[in-house]
Order: sequence, then structure tokens, then C-alpha cells
Amino acid sequence: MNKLVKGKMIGSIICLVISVGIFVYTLTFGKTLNEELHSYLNGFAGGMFGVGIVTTIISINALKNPSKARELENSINDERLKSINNCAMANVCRICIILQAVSSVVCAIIGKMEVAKYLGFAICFELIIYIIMYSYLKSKN
Amino acid sequence: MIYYNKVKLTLHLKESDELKNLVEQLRKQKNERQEELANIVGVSRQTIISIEKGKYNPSILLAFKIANHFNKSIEEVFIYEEEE
Repeated sequence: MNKLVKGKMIGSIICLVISVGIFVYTLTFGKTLNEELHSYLNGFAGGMFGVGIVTTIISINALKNPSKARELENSINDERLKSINNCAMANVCRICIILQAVSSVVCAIIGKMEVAKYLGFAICFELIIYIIMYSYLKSKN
Repeated sequence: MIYYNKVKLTLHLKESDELKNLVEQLRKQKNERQEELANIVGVSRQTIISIEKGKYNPSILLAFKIANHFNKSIEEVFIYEEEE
């Protein structure tokens, strides 16, 4: 079995186990939790369960069929897909920071100073992480 | 007759510079399918399609893998042309 497929399989099983664990927790201690937290945990677990099921099915298909395994391995290792993924993620980060900055200003104008402050803090934190990551990658490459 | 694929580089070269490649022609000479070449060099079929169409410029490592597969040097498969 290929290491990558194995890793994907382990990841999806962990995802499923955590989601089932949260479901069991909410069923067992559901009465002691407030309604908001209860629905939040259920939604979180539902999302994780969905991701876990899909990735498990993909991994099982890959294990049964060697050509599918190769396809999966190629799609994970593919340099073009990696660069597209990096580019998409970088663009999403840029858009998120800009949206946060705009939202922060709007919140400050309409008098919601608390939210504006939190958003401003989040932007500063993200940019600090960016600088650290940039310096780290620069030193490595 | 061999036709070169025109590739516009966006990151490393000027707009006027071109990288051509003979991947499609060499693959057809070998009677290989895109999927087979993709599996051999360890990428997806879409990546081979993009390289052949000239939409994507492979890394130096992938370019070497492709050239080695066709028993050619990298310069014989990927041709860099600088416009004056």
C-alpha cells in the first residue's frame, strides 16, 4: 500500500473517529449543554463526518484498484495542482485580510468599536504570522 | 513536420520570451497516451494536457523526467527562445 494513500486513509479514519466521539458526547451529555453549544458541536461533527466519509470512500477505492491508487498519488504529488492550490490559498488570504480591514472600518464608523478592535487585532496577528512564515521560508530556500 | 507549442512564461521570463516544447510530438511518436505519460512522470493527465498546450511550464525536475522518458536532453524537448 502506498504511503500517501495510507496517510490519507489514516487521516480520514481519525476524522471519522473524532466526529463520532463528538456525536456520542453530545448524545450523552446533551442535556447538560446549552442549546447553542449543542447545535454547534453537532454541526461541527456533521461536517467532519462528511469529510471523513468522502475521503474514506476515495481511499478504499484506491486500495481496491491500483490504477485509482496511482491516480490519487499523482493528484496528491502533482506540482501543477500544488502550485494552483498555493495560489488559490494565497488569494483567499489576501481577500480575507482586505475584507477584515474593510469590515473593521465599517464597524468603527457604525459605532461597534469592540468588533472593530477584534478585527483589527486579527489583521495584525495574521500579518505577524505572515512575516514569520515569510522569513522562515526565505531562510529555508 | 514538427510544430512547436508556444508557451508564455508568466513568472520567470519576460512576456516576449518563449518556451516551446515537443512533448506532444514525442509522445505521439512513441504511441503513448497522455495518461500513460502522466503515470510514468508522476503527474495528473491534466498537467500533461496543460504542458502540451503550452499553458503550464513544468518545473526543472518534471522537465528532466519528461526528457529522460523520451531519451532526449532537456534542451531537445524544451526550447527556450529569447526575442530580441
